[in-house]
Amino acid sequence: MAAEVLYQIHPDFEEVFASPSILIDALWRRGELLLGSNNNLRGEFFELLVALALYKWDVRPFYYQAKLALIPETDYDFALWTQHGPVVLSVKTSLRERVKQAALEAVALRMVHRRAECYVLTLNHDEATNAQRKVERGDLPALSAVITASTADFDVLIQRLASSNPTAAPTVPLIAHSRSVVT
Amino acid sequence: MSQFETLVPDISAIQASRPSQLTRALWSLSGGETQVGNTRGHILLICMISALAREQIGPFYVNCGVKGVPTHSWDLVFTSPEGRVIAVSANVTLKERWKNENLAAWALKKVLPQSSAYIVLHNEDEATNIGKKIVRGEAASIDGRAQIFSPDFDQFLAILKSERLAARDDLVDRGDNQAGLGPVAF
Repeated sequence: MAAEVLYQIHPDFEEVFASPSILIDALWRRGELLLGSNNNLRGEFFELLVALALYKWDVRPFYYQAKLALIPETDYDFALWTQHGPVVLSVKTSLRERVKQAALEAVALRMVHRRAECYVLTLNHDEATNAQRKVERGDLPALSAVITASTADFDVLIQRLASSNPTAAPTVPLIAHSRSVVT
Repeated sequence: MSQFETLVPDISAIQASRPSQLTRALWSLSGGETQVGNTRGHILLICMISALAREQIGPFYVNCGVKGVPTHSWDLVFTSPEGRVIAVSANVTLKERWKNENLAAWALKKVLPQSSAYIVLHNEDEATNIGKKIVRGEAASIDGRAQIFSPDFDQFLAILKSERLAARDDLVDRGDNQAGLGPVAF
């Protein structure tokens, strides 16, 4: 359904946007009337826009709705694998209490991957500003940043992610080494 | 709290042979069912603390986190002399926040592996559903759940009563504004 809305408002995949944030802003404005008040649909549509921005600005490969090994019952909206480990993006049209969920997911990820980066992307600038203050104060220590996707901060993030040369996530043996195997 | 004391001036006067009967009576006396939002949550927590007081279970901390597990705070945190934590979330309703509780419990056990985490709920359907999720492994980091008016709650308090508890301020994070309370002992 969200994909149908995206196709309706953005039938020409080759349409050029000046920056990722302009893509998000322009397509969200176009789609908003069709989305109505269905929060699930709005959330899914926002995810598609982020996916589109990642794709168009060569932040690839990326994993969508990714469950990471060793981390229980958590689907990260987007995950990338870089030379420093995973980068996850939590995508939420508005934050409210859900920033706590993203922060906990980031805590869990960083307990397994110490150098992981965890970003929250939202469309509500006021909420993002407040949450980012908490990140800077150290109240949400596992989060790297909370970013409004329709602002230049998102462009900076996309540029940085593209330059980190994401790769397919490696497959790691569960037993790294042993002297012998007794069966 | 002062309002609660007005409504329930003498907890010891309430006839209740089991903790779950006491919590049910307190919830009813304090109008828990007719309240809304946070007030219901506060009443639920007071009901639970009253049951702990009646059973002489403690010490414990209120609205505290655990050092090394950032971002999350539990309604009640019990600590043992050996450094174990028993973390309890008491909620009228959890909805999707059971996922947060499960993740926080998982993180807690990464930091203090012998620790455990429990959920106490008012909503019966949710208590049943979370019980199923625990069994199915979807909420595998949660050690148990209890509906606050049910025999499950009595069993849960029996578990707590059987634990060797001691104040361990070094394990507890009271938050930035030192808003967490405790250790509370009876």
